[in-house]
Amino acid sequence: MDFDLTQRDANVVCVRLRGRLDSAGADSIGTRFTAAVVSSAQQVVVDLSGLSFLASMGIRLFISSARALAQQGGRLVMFGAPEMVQTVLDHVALDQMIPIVATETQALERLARP
Amino acid sequence: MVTPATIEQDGSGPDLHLRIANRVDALGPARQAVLDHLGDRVHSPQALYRIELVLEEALMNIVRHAFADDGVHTIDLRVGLGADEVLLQFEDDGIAFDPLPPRQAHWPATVAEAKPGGLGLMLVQRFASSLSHQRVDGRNRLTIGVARV
Repeated sequence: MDFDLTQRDANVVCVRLRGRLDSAGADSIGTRFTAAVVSSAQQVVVDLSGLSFLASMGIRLFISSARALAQQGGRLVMFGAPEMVQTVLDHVALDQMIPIVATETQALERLARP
Repeated sequence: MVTPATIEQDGSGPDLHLRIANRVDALGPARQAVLDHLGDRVHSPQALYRIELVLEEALMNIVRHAFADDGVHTIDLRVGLGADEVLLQFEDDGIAFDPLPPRQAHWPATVAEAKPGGLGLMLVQRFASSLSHQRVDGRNRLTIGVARV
Protein backbone atom coordinates (compact mmCIF):
# COMPACT_ATOMS: atom_id res chain seq x y z
CA MET A 1 0.00 0.00 0.00
CA ASP A 2 1.39 3.40 -0.93
CA PHE A 3 0.40 6.86 -2.09
CA ASP A 4 1.84 9.93 -3.73
CA LEU A 5 1.00 13.64 -3.73
CA THR A 6 0.51 16.00 -6.65
CA GLN A 7 0.02 19.74 -6.25
CA ARG A 8 -2.97 20.64 -8.44
CA ASP A 9 -2.94 24.36 -7.85
CA ALA A 10 -2.08 26.84 -5.13
CA ASN A 11 -4.15 25.25 -2.40
CA VAL A 12 -5.35 21.89 -3.79
CA VAL A 13 -3.41 18.65 -3.46
CA CYS A 14 -4.26 15.31 -5.05
CA VAL A 15 -3.42 12.17 -3.07
CA ARG A 16 -3.28 9.04 -5.24
CA LEU A 17 -3.63 5.72 -3.41
CA ARG A 18 -2.27 2.40 -4.72
CA GLY A 19 -2.79 -1.11 -3.39
CA ARG A 20 -4.85 -2.77 -0.67
CA LEU A 21 -6.27 -0.54 2.03
CA ASP A 22 -7.04 -3.29 4.55
CA SER A 23 -5.80 -3.48 8.18
CA ALA A 24 -2.21 -4.04 7.10
CA GLY A 25 -2.38 -1.31 4.47
CA ALA A 26 -3.93 1.17 6.87
CA ASP A 27 -1.22 0.36 9.45
CA SER A 28 1.52 0.88 6.88
CA ILE A 29 0.45 4.29 5.59
CA GLY A 30 -1.90 5.63 8.28
CA THR A 31 0.32 8.15 10.02
CA ARG A 32 1.96 9.35 6.79
CA PHE A 33 -1.37 9.65 4.98
CA THR A 34 -3.01 11.71 7.70
CA ALA A 35 0.06 13.92 8.00
CA ALA A 36 0.11 14.46 4.24
CA VAL A 37 -3.58 15.32 4.11
CA VAL A 38 -3.44 17.72 7.04
CA SER A 39 -0.16 19.45 6.30
CA SER A 40 -0.22 19.74 2.55
CA ALA A 41 -3.10 22.03 1.79
CA GLN A 42 -6.54 23.30 2.72
CA GLN A 43 -8.26 21.34 -0.05
CA VAL A 44 -7.57 17.71 -0.86
CA VAL A 45 -8.83 15.37 -3.55
CA VAL A 46 -8.16 11.67 -3.03
CA ASP A 47 -7.82 9.40 -6.06
CA LEU A 48 -9.19 5.94 -5.23
CA SER A 49 -8.72 4.45 -8.71
CA GLY A 50 -5.54 2.64 -7.70
CA LEU A 51 -7.16 0.80 -4.80
CA SER A 52 -7.56 -2.93 -5.35
CA PHE A 53 -9.28 -3.46 -1.98
CA LEU A 54 -10.86 -1.36 0.75
CA ALA A 55 -11.92 -2.58 4.21
CA SER A 56 -13.18 -0.88 7.36
CA MET A 57 -9.75 0.14 8.66
CA GLY A 58 -9.20 2.05 5.43
CA ILE A 59 -12.54 3.79 5.83
CA ARG A 60 -11.60 4.74 9.39
CA LEU A 61 -8.41 6.26 8.02
CA PHE A 62 -10.40 8.36 5.54
CA ILE A 63 -12.70 9.59 8.28
CA SER A 64 -9.96 10.43 10.78
CA SER A 65 -7.97 12.27 8.11
CA ALA A 66 -11.02 14.19 6.86
CA ARG A 67 -11.86 15.08 10.45
CA ALA A 68 -8.34 16.36 11.13
CA LEU A 69 -8.45 18.40 7.91
CA ALA A 70 -11.90 19.81 8.74
CA GLN A 71 -10.60 20.96 12.12
CA GLN A 72 -8.19 23.17 10.17
CA GLY A 73 -10.97 24.48 7.95
CA GLY A 74 -10.03 22.26 5.00
CA ARG A 75 -12.13 19.93 2.86
CA LEU A 76 -11.63 16.54 1.25
CA VAL A 77 -13.35 14.96 -1.77
CA MET A 78 -12.73 11.43 -3.03
CA PHE A 79 -13.08 10.17 -6.61
CA GLY A 80 -12.52 7.30 -9.01
CA ALA A 81 -13.44 4.31 -6.83
CA PRO A 82 -13.33 0.95 -8.64
CA GLU A 83 -16.57 -1.05 -8.66
CA MET A 84 -16.24 -3.11 -5.49
CA VAL A 85 -14.54 -0.30 -3.57
CA GLN A 86 -17.51 1.91 -4.48
CA THR A 87 -19.88 -0.84 -3.33
CA VAL A 88 -18.17 -0.90 0.07
CA LEU A 89 -18.36 2.90 0.32
CA ASP A 90 -22.06 2.79 -0.60
CA HIS A 91 -22.82 0.20 2.08
CA VAL A 92 -21.36 2.41 4.82
CA ALA A 93 -22.95 5.51 3.28
CA LEU A 94 -19.63 7.33 3.57
CA ASP A 95 -20.81 9.94 1.08
CA GLN A 96 -23.02 11.32 3.84
CA MET A 97 -19.80 12.48 5.48
CA ILE A 98 -17.25 12.80 2.67
CA PRO A 99 -18.18 13.71 -0.95
CA ILE A 100 -17.43 10.89 -3.39
CA VAL A 101 -17.59 11.56 -7.12
CA ALA A 102 -16.62 9.77 -10.30
CA THR A 103 -13.77 11.84 -11.75
CA GLU A 104 -10.97 14.15 -10.73
CA THR A 105 -12.60 16.99 -12.67
CA GLN A 106 -15.81 16.54 -10.68
CA ALA A 107 -13.83 16.41 -7.45
CA LEU A 108 -12.10 19.70 -8.23
CA GLU A 109 -15.42 21.28 -9.21
CA ARG A 110 -16.91 20.09 -5.91
CA LEU A 111 -14.10 21.73 -3.96
CA ALA A 112 -14.57 24.95 -5.91
CA ARG A 113 -18.14 25.25 -4.63
CA PRO A 114 -18.50 27.27 -1.42
CA MET B 1 7.32 -10.46 11.16
CA VAL B 2 5.17 -13.43 10.18
CA THR B 3 6.32 -16.68 11.74
CA PRO B 4 5.33 -20.20 10.75
CA ALA B 5 3.28 -20.35 13.95
CA THR B 6 0.99 -17.56 12.72
CA ILE B 7 -1.24 -20.13 11.08
CA GLU B 8 -1.35 -23.91 11.03
CA GLN B 9 -3.12 -25.84 8.33
CA ASP B 10 -4.85 -29.19 8.74
CA GLY B 11 -4.68 -31.04 5.44
CA SER B 12 -7.23 -33.74 6.26
CA GLY B 13 -10.73 -33.61 4.74
CA PRO B 14 -12.20 -31.58 1.89
CA ASP B 15 -12.58 -28.44 3.95
CA LEU B 16 -9.74 -26.12 4.81
CA HIS B 17 -8.97 -25.94 8.53
CA LEU B 18 -6.65 -23.21 9.78
CA ARG B 19 -5.55 -22.52 13.33
CA ILE B 20 -4.73 -18.83 13.39
CA ALA B 21 -2.85 -16.92 16.10
CA ASN B 22 -4.62 -13.85 17.48
CA ARG B 23 -2.23 -11.48 15.72
CA VAL B 24 -2.92 -8.82 13.12
CA ASP B 25 -0.12 -10.17 10.91
CA ALA B 26 -1.88 -13.54 10.74
CA LEU B 27 -4.46 -12.15 8.34
CA GLY B 28 -2.21 -12.09 5.28
CA PRO B 29 -1.17 -15.77 5.45
CA ALA B 30 -4.75 -16.80 6.35
CA ARG B 31 -6.14 -14.89 3.38
CA GLN B 32 -3.64 -16.50 1.02
CA ALA B 33 -4.40 -19.98 2.37
CA VAL B 34 -8.12 -19.41 1.82
CA LEU B 35 -7.59 -18.11 -1.72
CA ASP B 36 -5.30 -21.04 -2.54
CA HIS B 37 -7.93 -23.47 -1.20
CA LEU B 38 -10.70 -21.88 -3.25
CA GLY B 39 -8.56 -21.95 -6.37
CA ASP B 40 -10.65 -21.71 -9.52
CA ARG B 41 -13.82 -22.87 -7.77
CA VAL B 42 -14.81 -19.25 -7.21
CA HIS B 43 -14.61 -17.36 -10.49
CA SER B 44 -16.32 -14.07 -9.90
CA PRO B 45 -14.05 -11.16 -8.90
CA GLN B 46 -16.99 -9.72 -6.98
CA ALA B 47 -17.43 -12.97 -5.03
CA LEU B 48 -13.71 -13.13 -4.24
CA TYR B 49 -13.84 -9.53 -2.99
CA ARG B 50 -16.80 -10.37 -0.73
CA ILE B 51 -15.00 -13.42 0.66
CA GLU B 52 -11.81 -11.46 1.33
CA LEU B 53 -13.75 -8.62 2.95
CA VAL B 54 -15.74 -10.90 5.25
CA LEU B 55 -12.59 -12.80 6.17
CA GLU B 56 -10.73 -9.57 6.95
CA GLU B 57 -13.50 -8.00 9.00
CA ALA B 58 -14.50 -11.13 10.95
CA LEU B 59 -10.94 -12.16 11.73
CA MET B 60 -9.77 -8.67 12.68
CA ASN B 61 -12.80 -8.21 14.93
CA ILE B 62 -11.85 -11.37 16.82
CA VAL B 63 -8.14 -10.51 16.99
CA ARG B 64 -8.75 -6.97 18.22
CA HIS B 65 -11.72 -7.42 20.53
CA ALA B 66 -12.35 -11.03 21.56
CA PHE B 67 -9.67 -11.50 24.18
CA ALA B 68 -9.49 -9.72 27.51
CA ASP B 69 -5.86 -10.62 28.12
CA ASP B 70 -2.60 -10.24 26.20
CA GLY B 71 -2.09 -13.97 25.96
CA VAL B 72 -1.71 -16.19 22.96
CA HIS B 73 -5.01 -17.50 21.65
CA THR B 74 -5.96 -19.53 18.62
CA ILE B 75 -8.81 -18.88 16.23
CA ASP B 76 -10.09 -21.89 14.31
CA LEU B 77 -11.23 -21.18 10.78
CA ARG B 78 -12.93 -23.78 8.61
CA VAL B 79 -13.65 -23.04 4.96
CA GLY B 80 -16.07 -25.16 2.97
CA LEU B 81 -17.91 -24.89 -0.32
CA GLY B 82 -21.66 -25.27 -0.60
CA ALA B 83 -23.64 -25.24 -3.82
CA ASP B 84 -24.20 -21.48 -3.69
CA GLU B 85 -21.98 -20.30 -0.88
CA VAL B 86 -18.48 -20.37 0.49
CA LEU B 87 -18.83 -21.07 4.22
CA LEU B 88 -16.40 -19.51 6.70
CA GLN B 89 -16.68 -20.78 10.26
CA PHE B 90 -14.72 -18.96 12.96
CA GLU B 91 -14.36 -20.40 16.44
CA ASP B 92 -12.61 -18.72 19.38
CA ASP B 93 -12.41 -18.95 23.15
CA GLY B 94 -12.82 -15.22 23.65
CA ILE B 95 -15.47 -13.29 25.55
CA ALA B 96 -19.06 -14.03 24.66
CA PHE B 97 -20.09 -11.83 21.76
CA ASP B 98 -23.02 -12.00 19.38
CA PRO B 99 -22.33 -10.15 16.12
CA LEU B 100 -25.82 -10.67 14.74
CA PRO B 101 -27.77 -7.59 15.96
CA PRO B 102 -28.17 -5.33 12.91
CA ARG B 103 -25.74 -2.48 12.57
CA GLN B 104 -26.23 0.75 10.68
CA ALA B 105 -23.95 3.68 10.01
CA HIS B 106 -25.20 6.71 11.90
CA TRP B 107 -23.16 9.64 10.79
CA PRO B 108 -23.29 13.04 12.56
CA ALA B 109 -23.96 16.30 10.74
CA THR B 110 -20.29 17.06 10.19
CA VAL B 111 -17.18 14.95 9.71
CA ALA B 112 -15.66 16.84 12.64
CA GLU B 113 -18.00 14.92 14.95
CA ALA B 114 -17.59 11.52 13.31
CA LYS B 115 -16.52 8.63 15.51
CA PRO B 116 -16.29 5.55 13.27
CA GLY B 117 -16.98 2.26 15.01
CA GLY B 118 -18.69 -1.00 14.21
CA LEU B 119 -18.04 -0.60 10.49
CA GLY B 120 -16.37 -4.00 10.24
CA LEU B 121 -19.32 -6.00 11.55
CA MET B 122 -21.71 -3.91 9.50
CA LEU B 123 -19.79 -4.85 6.37
CA VAL B 124 -19.91 -8.53 7.38
CA GLN B 125 -23.69 -8.28 7.72
CA ARG B 126 -24.05 -6.49 4.38
CA PHE B 127 -21.83 -8.79 2.33
CA ALA B 128 -22.74 -12.14 3.87
CA SER B 129 -25.54 -14.20 2.36
CA SER B 130 -26.01 -16.06 5.64
CA LEU B 131 -24.90 -15.50 9.21
CA SER B 132 -25.26 -17.54 12.38
CA HIS B 133 -23.71 -17.48 15.83
CA GLN B 134 -23.58 -19.96 18.68
CA ARG B 135 -21.90 -20.03 22.07
CA VAL B 136 -20.79 -23.62 22.65
CA ASP B 137 -18.75 -24.84 25.62
CA GLY B 138 -17.37 -21.37 26.29
CA ARG B 139 -16.48 -20.75 22.64
CA ASN B 140 -17.93 -18.41 20.05
CA ARG B 141 -18.83 -20.08 16.78
CA LEU B 142 -19.58 -17.68 13.93
CA THR B 143 -20.58 -19.14 10.57
CA ILE B 144 -20.71 -16.84 7.58
CA GLY B 145 -21.93 -17.78 4.12
CA VAL B 146 -20.77 -15.72 1.14
CA ALA B 147 -22.38 -16.14 -2.26
CA ARG B 148 -20.06 -17.84 -4.77
CA VAL B 149 -21.34 -15.97 -7.82
